[in-house]
Amino acid sequence: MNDMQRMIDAASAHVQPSWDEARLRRVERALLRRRARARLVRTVGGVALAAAVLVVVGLGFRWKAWSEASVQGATVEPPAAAAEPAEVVFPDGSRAQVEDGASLRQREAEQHRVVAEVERGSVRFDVNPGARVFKVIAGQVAVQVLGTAFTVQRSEVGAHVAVDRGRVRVSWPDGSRELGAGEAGDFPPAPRAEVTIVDETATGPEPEIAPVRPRPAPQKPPVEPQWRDHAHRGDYAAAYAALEAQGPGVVRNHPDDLLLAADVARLSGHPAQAVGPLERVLRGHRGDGRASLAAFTLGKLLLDQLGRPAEAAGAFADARALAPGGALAQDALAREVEAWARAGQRDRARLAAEQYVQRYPDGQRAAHVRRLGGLE
Amino acid sequence: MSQDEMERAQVAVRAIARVSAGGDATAAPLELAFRRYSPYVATIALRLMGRDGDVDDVVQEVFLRAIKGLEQLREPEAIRSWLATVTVRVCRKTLRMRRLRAMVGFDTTGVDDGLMAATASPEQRALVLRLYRVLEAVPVDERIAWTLRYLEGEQLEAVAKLCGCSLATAKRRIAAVQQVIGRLMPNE
Repeated sequence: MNDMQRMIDAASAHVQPSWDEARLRRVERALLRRRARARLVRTVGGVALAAAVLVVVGLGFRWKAWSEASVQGATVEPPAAAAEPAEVVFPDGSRAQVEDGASLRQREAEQHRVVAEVERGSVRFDVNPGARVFKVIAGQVAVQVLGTAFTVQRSEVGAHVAVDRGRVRVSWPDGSRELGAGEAGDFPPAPRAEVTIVDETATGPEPEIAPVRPRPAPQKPPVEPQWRDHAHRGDYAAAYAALEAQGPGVVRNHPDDLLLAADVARLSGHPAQAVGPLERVLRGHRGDGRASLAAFTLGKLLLDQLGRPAEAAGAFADARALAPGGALAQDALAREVEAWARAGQRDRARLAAEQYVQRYPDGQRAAHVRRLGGLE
Repeated sequence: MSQDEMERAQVAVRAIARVSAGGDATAAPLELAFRRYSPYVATIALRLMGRDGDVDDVVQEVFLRAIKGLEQLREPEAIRSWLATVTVRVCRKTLRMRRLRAMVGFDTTGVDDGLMAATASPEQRALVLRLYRVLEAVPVDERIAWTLRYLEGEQLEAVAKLCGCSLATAKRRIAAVQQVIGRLMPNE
């Protein structure tokens, strides 16, 4: 290997900022102070007249949304600023942010029971942890809160539900499903034939998955796209070329497709393009039995091929969290130690190394972990 | 900021919140996005700037600009790509200012040994410092293109997009730096 290649490899592997928690918080505080100052500068001074006009226009705009968000028996907050969504406070302390053009109607509102309906648009709910029953209805879809913050966006055929925190149970006439933090979906879900049929003899395009838009009914049964054919035969270069030609829409929002697309990218020499599908598995399919493997694969990519050790450490930690007693847990912890060490975060590397040595004193990587974690 | 820009910023912040869900439940969307993506932005910034002392300011500037410009981004890859684009712009501007200050004698810092992680060997440190001395001397646009290609591992098309130039221009800039480095590497 010549000097230039050694130099590039060294720079890729070792030019890393020491971005520990203390530094992150320090920079974050400075960022928020700068943002607050920038807002203050915009509000006062020579643009006061324009700001006054903006406020008048904004209040008129917000008043319309606020009046649509009015709910009987619930406290309605006045619009705080021209560009802020209207906020509704329920008797149990829960809150809803009503986006532009959305309409929220209350069906029941008591201290320990709230039932609200999203008639149109998007509303974000932040439910008081002490709430007993909090239910949101959107057409034929009902969202039962199990302690969370989530968004419900009404669509023509149902609703799109996205959970920021906690868990919800989404139910519709023919079924129900629980969503955890970071998960989202369109409900009621399309019939299985729409998303999982693989019919090699059929003709017609594969339906696209568009989580935030209502899916049209399929015109014809879908056909196996070329990229999967190539991938299943092990011809990853051809599979990648086919994916590029056909566009990202041919990759279904299902772990089978996402993991296969990630393999295609990774094994055809495009590691950076494998990150997206793996992250989509972790965001939308954490309950799938392969989620831990996806996190581990992501960690390896980030660490070994993309030179992003801090992010890799997070992915390895995620792999362990998804399957604490799984086959990958020991390796994931060892690689997490390595990732923190390469990120220059000695304290975190040491902490992870101590965990490894405690849990796996006879582990295959114990010696390696001790050295990287500074335990020798 | 106009009404339209404020509304777009609010939509952008909510988009970040949707994509970045899973963090601290009490944090606002900017904070969520910052905690998730700041390590990524800091890494690009350090590799482009070559000085650890510049990274914090660049990261702040990137997120301040990003909150104004993101629109309807839902996929993590889209947000990462946008942040990378903003980071390149901020670094380009900062590097040009640094070059100007150096010309008039206001910047004498030179290459910063602190840009290397503690895990680097002495040989690796020497190689990387040598690299960054070369990068300090080449034009800013060429430096950025080469760094994105070889240190960030970006494909040529992505380099062109991040640099806001044509593919041919990106290739030309990368090749120019390769020639300079090649002349200075006697063992190649």
